Amino acid sequence: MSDFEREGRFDEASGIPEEVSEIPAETPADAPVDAPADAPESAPEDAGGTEEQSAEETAAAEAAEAAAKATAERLAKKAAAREKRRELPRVLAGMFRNMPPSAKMALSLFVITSVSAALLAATHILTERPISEHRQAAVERALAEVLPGRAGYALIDGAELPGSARELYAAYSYDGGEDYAVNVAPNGYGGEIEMMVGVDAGGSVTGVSIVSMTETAGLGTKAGSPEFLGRFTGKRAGVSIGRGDNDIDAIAGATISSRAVTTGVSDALAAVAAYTASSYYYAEEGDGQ
Amino acid sequence: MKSDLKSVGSRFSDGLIFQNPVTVLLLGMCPVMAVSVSVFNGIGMGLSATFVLIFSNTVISLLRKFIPENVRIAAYIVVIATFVTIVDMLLQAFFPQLSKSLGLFIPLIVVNCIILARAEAFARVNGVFNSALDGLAMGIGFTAALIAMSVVREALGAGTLLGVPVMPPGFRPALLMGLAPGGFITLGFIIAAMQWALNRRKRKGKL
Repeated sequence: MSDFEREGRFDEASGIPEEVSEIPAETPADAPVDAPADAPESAPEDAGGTEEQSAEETAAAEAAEAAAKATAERLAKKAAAREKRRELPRVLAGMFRNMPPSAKMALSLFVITSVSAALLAATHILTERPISEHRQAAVERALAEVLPGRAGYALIDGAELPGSARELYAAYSYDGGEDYAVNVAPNGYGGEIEMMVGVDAGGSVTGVSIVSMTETAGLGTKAGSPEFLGRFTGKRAGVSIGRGDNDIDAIAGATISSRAVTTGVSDALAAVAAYTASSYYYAEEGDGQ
Repeated sequence: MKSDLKSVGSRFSDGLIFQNPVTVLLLGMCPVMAVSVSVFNGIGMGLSATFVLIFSNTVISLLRKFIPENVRIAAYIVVIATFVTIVDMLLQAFFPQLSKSLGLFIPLIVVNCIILARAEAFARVNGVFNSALDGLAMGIGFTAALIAMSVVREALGAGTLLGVPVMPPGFRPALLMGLAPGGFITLGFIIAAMQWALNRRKRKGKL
């Protein structure tokens, strides 16, 4: 192996294609291994035969030699077959070894990142549907919680979404009324707090539900408690932390989380106000024609 | 065969006790502090990290002759990040509850020092079988430490175990235990207890 490597390094400097030098490099490496194995066995027998000169013994020695030769040939054939099987990986390994270091780095990173990308793509295909189903289910649960007993819900495309608002849903009542729910994701203390805010047609909050939050356990998570979220019911645009009629009492020790939830609710109210204003405008324009 | 069994045994005794990633090597403290507030999260985090450790150790050991020295850290991070992302996606798809409560900590396994440390210190210079075993043993050690910590912290900090109330009525949860200081205090006591037990065994062995 060390010969092989030395050959390889020599090639690197001279720039001779690897395959040309590799195959001859392997054959001599195998030949010496077979030859010494035969030689010591036949040599002592010959030395013994010269003294006694027995014809039988010479014949026996010749037969043994022939047998040894046959075995050696068989072994050589096997080795050649083995060699052939190993040739491709060995040629590839040789090519890799002969590369300049910069190419080696680039190639190994390229191979690793390609395989990794393929694995990730496969996992993505496998998990895409369950993940979107779970998300859909969570959103539907939140919708049903903030606007219970509605006939149906629909995502409104292209609505104007101020601040942390992400999605605007319309909820249709059986009597033809239309209320709204807004998916908002304000920044809390430990990341985004995704929540659903229900807003009735008159612009006051009907309910708030947390879809997901990563606030500090025991402190920030209190801002997701039904007791705190219940404080928002009936509040109108301009809701904030404070002591007024339209204000919310923050939770002691969770001011940032309380403020984040309040921001989310106020963004939701703003989104609904913007949407209703624009749809009235279109409705009036439509009546005029 | 005998030496194989011996090395299997030493992998596990190292991973669980003598080189426990949390209580002896003190690696990956950030997720340990953050996640060990509840037993459910502790188990989830431990098993996810174990999964990543086994696969990253195996792959890095397989590729140890292919990855050039100069770019090995980059290559390791790609391998580790791939497995972490796979775990993250699988959890989101099939264990949404766990994924929700572990949240950001799953993607952060990428930078968990335990995984890179085992790649660098073990998988890089050992065979595939031993490396996979090392990943498993270290993962179990990590999980065990997380469970030990989260049992104490959930019981004292929230009065529950796996969400079930275990404390007598009238118990007031100690908020401190749910926060980082409580985590460090718990870890300190666990390390002290472990060192005491190990030293006692050593003394007895000498006498």
